[in-house]
Amino acid sequence: MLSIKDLHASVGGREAGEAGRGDGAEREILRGINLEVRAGEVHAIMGPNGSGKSTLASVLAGNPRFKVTSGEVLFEERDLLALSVEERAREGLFLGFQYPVEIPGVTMANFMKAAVAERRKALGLQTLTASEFLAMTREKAALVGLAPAMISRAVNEGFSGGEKKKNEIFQMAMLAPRLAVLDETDSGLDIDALRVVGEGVTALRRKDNAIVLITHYQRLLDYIVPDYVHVLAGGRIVLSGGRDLALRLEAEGYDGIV
Amino acid sequence: MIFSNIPEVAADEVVAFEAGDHAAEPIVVKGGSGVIRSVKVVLGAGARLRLPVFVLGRGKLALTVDLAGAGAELHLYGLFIAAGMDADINVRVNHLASDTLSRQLVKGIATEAGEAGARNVDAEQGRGEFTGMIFVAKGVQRVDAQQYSRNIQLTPGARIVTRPQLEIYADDVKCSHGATVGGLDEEAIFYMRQRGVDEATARRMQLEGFVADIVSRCPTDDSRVEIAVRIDKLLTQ
Ligand SMILES: Nc1ncnc2c1ncn2[C@@H]1O[C@H](COP(=O)(O)OP(=O)(O)OP(=O)(O)O)[C@@H](O)[C@H]1O
Ligand SMILES: [Mg+2]
Repeated sequence: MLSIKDLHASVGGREAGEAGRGDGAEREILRGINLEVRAGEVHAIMGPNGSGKSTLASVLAGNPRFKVTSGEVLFEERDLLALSVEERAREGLFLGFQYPVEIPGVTMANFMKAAVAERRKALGLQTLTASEFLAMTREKAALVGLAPAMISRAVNEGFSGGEKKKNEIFQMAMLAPRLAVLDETDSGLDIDALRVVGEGVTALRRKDNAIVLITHYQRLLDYIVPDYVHVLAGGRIVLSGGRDLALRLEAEGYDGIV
Repeated sequence: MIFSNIPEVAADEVVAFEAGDHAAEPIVVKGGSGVIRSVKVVLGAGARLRLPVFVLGRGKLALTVDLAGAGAELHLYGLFIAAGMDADINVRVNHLASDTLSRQLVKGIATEAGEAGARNVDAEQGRGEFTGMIFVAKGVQRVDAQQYSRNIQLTPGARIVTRPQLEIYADDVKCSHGATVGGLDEEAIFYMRQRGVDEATARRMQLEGFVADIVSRCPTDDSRVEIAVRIDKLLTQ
């Protein structure tokens, strides 16, 4: 499903002749990532603050802020890096943001209508009728414990921290991605919300999709049991193991490993 | 009361409101030919008015609102769009009586792109301007005035000018104002694209979101639709 080979990426570099602030120095953040994710699998990525976890997620999604300097990423046998941000999304790549963005004046309903329509078009499915869309919205909101009233509000505007995270999983449920990369979706959730979201994500788990969870806490992994756990440090995956690695990290910290 | 020192443009139209709540139909300057429209609104004692105003295209609105009676309230929502030409809103709010309140939220968009044929070759292309004067007369009490100007400069060559002005001759006045000028939120664009919405649509949705809380103040479906269509035309290029 996803195959990352020796991926290097930087931030802060400036194109020749391009005006901008700062010294224009390029800083390498991803320094040779290798990762294979197969259909049906759940991978957890852990690692110290600033090690490059969110950068990896952003680069996979195509955030123009980062520049891929070398390496290869295949998504469903296609060259992922050659696709635009929206093409990647339509092909079924979902990124749950660590910090979901507020969009004043744009309602969740309108936003999701547009997004779902694009996803369905890519899947060769017909556009939903208004009542089908509404029914789907209700069902998915219930799945993640999001109040249906949130749908008529502006995207993430004035949402609490936990509501924003639930809203990410709600959108994931609406878009039925092949691969979901969830960046610290567990941070900011209370204990009950963590369970609801954990169970929600588990319910979305299927044989033909895959999930990459970026997290600092092994608690989420009680609900969404990973097949593999990786430690990302200094822009590289320095250690990989099974579920027990997360428990070991929780007990011992990164000191002995990184 | 007579104030000899208030410079005012002579209004082409004068509208008066009596006590009670009023949701006025929008004042719209459709522009295209550099129209200047000047309107004066007079609010008597206890008159509370919600007024949406628009300058959509090349043109200018000069609006004067007199809060002439105790308890008068103005809630003004404005939008100007300078798409390849000049669009100005000029508001003067005169607090002439005690216990009066004014709220102004005026939004602006400036972009170099614009309607074919409507380009103003003499002026800078895509220049939007908001001038807002809050005047509080001598001797009035308990005045509460707010004025906010929020603007989006869509292209580097477009210009937004905001000129908030205060002229206060009384002591018991609560007054706040502020102005911001920025671009579209690129992180929001990325977020929307990550959900499969193409870039042009994402930009468009964000702009529509920006104007939504002004357009929504129009009291009828007809006026909302008419204005939405006009905005759509201006921003489509
Ligand atoms: N836009 C940027 N400009 C400059 N530096 C950046 C930018 N984005 C990320 N970085 C830097 O890259 C490094 C990796 O950041 P990243 O957000 O990927 O870390 P992380 O592993 O997700 O950390 P956390 O666990 O705190 O979320 C950090 O040192 C960060 O400061
Ligand atoms: Mg992070």
